[in-house]
Amino acid sequence: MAKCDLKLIFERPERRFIVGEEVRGRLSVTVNADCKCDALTVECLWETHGRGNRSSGDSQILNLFTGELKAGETHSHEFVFKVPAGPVTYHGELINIDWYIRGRVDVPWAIDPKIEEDFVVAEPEAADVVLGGGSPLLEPYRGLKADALPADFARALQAQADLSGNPLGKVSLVVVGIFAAFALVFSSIFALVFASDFGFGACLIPGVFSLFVSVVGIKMAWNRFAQKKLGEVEVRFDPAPVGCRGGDRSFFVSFKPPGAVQINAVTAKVSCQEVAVSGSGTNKTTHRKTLSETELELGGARAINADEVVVYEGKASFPEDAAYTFQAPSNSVKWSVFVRVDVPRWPDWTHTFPITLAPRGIVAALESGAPPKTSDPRPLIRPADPEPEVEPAIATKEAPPAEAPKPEASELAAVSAELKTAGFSTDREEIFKRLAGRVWSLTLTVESVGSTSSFDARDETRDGQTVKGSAQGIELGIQFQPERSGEVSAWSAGDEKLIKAELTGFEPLAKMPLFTARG
Amino acid sequence: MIQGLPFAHLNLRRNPFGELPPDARAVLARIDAERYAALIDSAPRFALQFVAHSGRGKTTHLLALHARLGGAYVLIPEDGPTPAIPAGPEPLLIDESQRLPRRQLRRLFRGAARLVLGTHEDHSRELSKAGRPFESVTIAGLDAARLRDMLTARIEAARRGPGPVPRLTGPVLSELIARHGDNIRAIEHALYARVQTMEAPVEISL
Repeated sequence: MAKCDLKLIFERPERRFIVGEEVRGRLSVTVNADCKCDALTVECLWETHGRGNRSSGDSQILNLFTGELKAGETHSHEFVFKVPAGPVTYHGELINIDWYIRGRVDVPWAIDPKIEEDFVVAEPEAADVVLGGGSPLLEPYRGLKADALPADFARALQAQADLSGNPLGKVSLVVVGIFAAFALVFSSIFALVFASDFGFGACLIPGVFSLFVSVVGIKMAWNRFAQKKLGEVEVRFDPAPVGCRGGDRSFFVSFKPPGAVQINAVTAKVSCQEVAVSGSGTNKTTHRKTLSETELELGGARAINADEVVVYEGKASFPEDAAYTFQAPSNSVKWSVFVRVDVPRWPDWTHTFPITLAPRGIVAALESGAPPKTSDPRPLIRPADPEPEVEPAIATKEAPPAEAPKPEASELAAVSAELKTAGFSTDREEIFKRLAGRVWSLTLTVESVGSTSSFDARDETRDGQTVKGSAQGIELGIQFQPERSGEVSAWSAGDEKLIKAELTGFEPLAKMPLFTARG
Repeated sequence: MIQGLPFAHLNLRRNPFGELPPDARAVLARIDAERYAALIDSAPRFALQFVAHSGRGKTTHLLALHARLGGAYVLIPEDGPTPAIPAGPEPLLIDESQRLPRRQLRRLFRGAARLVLGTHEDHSRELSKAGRPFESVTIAGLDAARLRDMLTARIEAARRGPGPVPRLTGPVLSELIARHGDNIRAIEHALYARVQTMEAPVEISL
């Protein structure tokens, strides 16, 4: 039998919430056996599930209780979380995005009792929402700036920005020529030197190599060939490459050919695709599913005069049940517009433009163009307002109200949760890279001090001391340089120390983040 | 567009055959963990290696043993730097050990820690040379009973509440083995696609 049984009840039985609303509920703990509780936590987050590795985000954690639990007691704690601006609940083919409330009793040296319940997050439904207008339904999105957008949209926008600077297609034809010539010369020398020993085989390998290099080079410069006839081709979205469900987004394809040219057609394909990655390394598999695809003919065959400016208009339409753009490690939903200018007997000009489909409120924030306001500095988490009830069997226990954690504390909790849920060491490496150089101020309550020993320990902390304890309710370890061993060895359990440290590792057995002391 | 609770129409919380995080795979693994644990504890420096092709369950075996025995689990990626292999915790569970550089592999085998290896290549020769007692387990082959056990565990782990859930019949299990052999990953992928389109908690058909 588990040390405790947990129960989660939502105030709203249908468990359906709109962005910006409060998710209220109660976490009850029935204690079956005496145990120490290092932390009774309730967490609100989204997580993907389906074909891809699980991704999660927007974690908010409340620490409701720390102390001793006695058999027969029942503890009951209310919680309140504010639903962030996204992502909304989504059930696709390869990818599902759901929101969860998770309760957990952190019992040292034992399996932690846990519970999880899902709930639905939806976009406000209002046909009369006016972009940029004063509707209260846009309230959750007001004042959003790019770095305060939901993380999945911020990642999607960054991916768009990265793609717009795509170096492919900007490679000079001269470079391609030099590269191909080098490959040919190298291959010829190889064949001449080894022909007597290997005969035909000596020509086969360098021949394949030359062909490969040439194909890659030509592919990289394909659009450069096309622009020799068409001039620079520009594609512009009006006013931005974003769209809403049930809406349209106009785009314009324009060019001014340097000489007279005939074109067959200008077409566009608007498509939405789910991409899910499972496994890692050689076991990594990328699964793709096209959810929708619409072909548009922007213009038919025609002759264009030299220096004539031509503009084609297209309209990308999004159905009412279209999937929103989503971007997370191993899981993404991508909308794109693939444009082709078909030139007879000549390489076609082609390019793929990502487009972001977002809830109306986020589109309004992206399109507003007004100087962004500073996002609300208050944390999204609020403490439970009423005093929690206790139904004792043997003794009465009064649970103190949960405190709203400081902003860095909630970020520490989120990073710790991210490390714990990261399934592969390569996923954790991504987290370390992201936070490299960031120095955290940690008020550490010391639990134990020991020697740092590791088969491949970091050079700077080898032969030093590792202190384990908790900071802001999160269990972690901090590794110190050997020159601080004298100071650190004198610390005792229960001491509180303010330490500046950088996140550098993860202890898989104890499931705790590891830091390296800085200064 | 109104979304309900995920897979509630099947009395499930999620598609049982989606990708599982490592800790869930360890819990749901159907392996003889006690027998392997006894082997690992049978001698100092003992090494147990699971040899198999992709998709047969090497990683699941390692994760299940990690959950049972503790120690340190390390997955060696194909690309990028080799992660640090910690000293101290035992046993050391090294997944995709064939990717380790030869020098590091020799150093690991010469060390004192008990090892559990998941590998595409048989390390018997190197383990012998390092003077380690070891046992090799080749993971291959699958019968309908074992497959039913594994897949039913996945369905039950995704159950939402009391009542019927999608179920598998003998003929369907036999057909899965006929189509995919012992490639458990391919079987899971096939069932994932099937469950995604189900409208009620009935027998899963192919």
